[in-house]
Amino acid sequence: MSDDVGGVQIDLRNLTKRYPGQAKPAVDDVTMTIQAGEIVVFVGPSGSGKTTTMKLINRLIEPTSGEILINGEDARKKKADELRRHIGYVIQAGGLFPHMTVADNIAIVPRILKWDRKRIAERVEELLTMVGLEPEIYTTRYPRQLSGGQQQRVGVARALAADPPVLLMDEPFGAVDPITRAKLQDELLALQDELSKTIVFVTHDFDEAVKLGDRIAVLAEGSRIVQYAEPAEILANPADDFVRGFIGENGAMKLLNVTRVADIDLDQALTVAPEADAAEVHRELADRDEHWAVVLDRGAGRPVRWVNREELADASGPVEDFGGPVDVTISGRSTLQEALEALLRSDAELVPVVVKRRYRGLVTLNTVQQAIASLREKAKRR
Amino acid sequence: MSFWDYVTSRWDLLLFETYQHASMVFQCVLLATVIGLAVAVATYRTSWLANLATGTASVIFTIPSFAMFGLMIPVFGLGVVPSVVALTLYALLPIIRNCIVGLSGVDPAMVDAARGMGMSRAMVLARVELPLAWPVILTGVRVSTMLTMGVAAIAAYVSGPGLGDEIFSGLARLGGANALNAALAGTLGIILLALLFDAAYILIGRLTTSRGLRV
Repeated sequence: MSDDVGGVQIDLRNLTKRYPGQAKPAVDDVTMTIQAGEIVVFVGPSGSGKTTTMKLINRLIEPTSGEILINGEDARKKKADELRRHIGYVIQAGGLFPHMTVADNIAIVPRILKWDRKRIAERVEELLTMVGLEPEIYTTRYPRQLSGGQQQRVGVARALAADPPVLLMDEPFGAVDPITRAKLQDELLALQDELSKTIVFVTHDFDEAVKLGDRIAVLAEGSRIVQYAEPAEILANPADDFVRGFIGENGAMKLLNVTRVADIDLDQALTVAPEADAAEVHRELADRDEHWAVVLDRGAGRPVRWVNREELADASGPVEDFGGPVDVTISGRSTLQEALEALLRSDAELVPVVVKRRYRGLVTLNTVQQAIASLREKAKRR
Repeated sequence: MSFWDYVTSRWDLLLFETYQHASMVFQCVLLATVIGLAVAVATYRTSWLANLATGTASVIFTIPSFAMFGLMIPVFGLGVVPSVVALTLYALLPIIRNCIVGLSGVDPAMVDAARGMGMSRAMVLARVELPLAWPVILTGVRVSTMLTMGVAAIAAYVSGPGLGDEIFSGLARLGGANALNAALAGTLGIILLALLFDAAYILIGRLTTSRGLRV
């Protein structure tokens, strides 16, 4: 992720929306801080008020009471139209205007802001390239000539047109097929790596929330924040049965998916140089009462071979003549799920972890189990 | 005298009356479009107001045309003014109704997206709602024109301009010389004009509807 954060902090303070004639407020006294440059996902069942809360931020719905601070400035003191021109807004299926070309759709906010023609044309081209649509082909197309996924990409490009620090996305990927949705999610994450906007993302799909969110706010009726935390923490330690119900049955599996190997305690094994004496290694393994040793490549420190105690019994000569080659390694960036996959696939008891081409430790089934247990423990203590 | 002889002998007069007829219809529909659009824009977002507007237009529409022109006489006398007023009132219904249907038929998500991008109410109307509702609005104007074309003939009853004069004078002295020819000339002229206007609307529709909206 780039260091310069493109987004700004948003503070909601005691935000309430009451509709006349309704006993309960749609949004009831919501207070939260959305960190600059983070993707915060509002997730909750329909009727929880998640969309309403999001629309309070750009004042498409005017709050009954409370404060909205965007970059420390009171959003309610600005003219609503002006405010919205500097907050990107993406809705389902992109919300593209069918009577305008792709270029005209993207150019809407820049035109309102009275950019000159040349600047607008350049920006349109830049944005289309950014979302992976060739400008030569797509500028003059109409929305109905695009696939659902392409429409959604144009929707994102349009929201980014005037480079707003904040992006509001209201179930943007709800109307596309699962494969396209996964692709759009990946693209959004890649874009976010580059842009670091502050993104408020509304969805009812918990898996989508886990995948995209730096933080997830689980909302119940009246937009009550049941839990607001990083995905791993919510999965490891759901605040209550409501959240547990939302996570579903396979919370532990999802946790595997959001935890990186570099972030857990790895097992360590005896490491030896290729030319080390086999008998020596055997003695040392016996002393430590361990079974496996890993042979590291001398210069680079990469794991190259496995040897076990039985193979080295009564052995002599360099240790590299024994054992077998290391054929599967995983990187520190891999998720625990990928580590598990590697373990099962390689039919080995352990898989070495390599970070920046150097050996860091081992993952075993036990390591994974321990990691999940300790995540739960840590989350509980917090 | 054969029908053809009749037409050629009075070519100049018929041409003038046709021109008057077309001009009157055009102006009344134009006036009705301006009024209808204004009424629709002012009412479409409040359902009871929209209903009131369409309801009122419907009531006006149910008044028999003869009665309507007759009612104009005590107020506006005879001639062009009562004809234009009555015709414009008739032309209103299809226009108001289609404008309201068209504007309120715009997908709320479109309006939401437009507002969310910081368009003012007026911008949303001009850049999103009207262009999207345009095909429906234009259909209303077209229907209204066809309707007005026929009703305009009755304007002759209040000494209004147009081809109605031919029809009325013909029917008044049926059996007399050239009576049938006159009625026929007036009727055919109106049919011809209607076809011409319709063709024009198809052309206008093509030219003014976004390619993105055509299926």
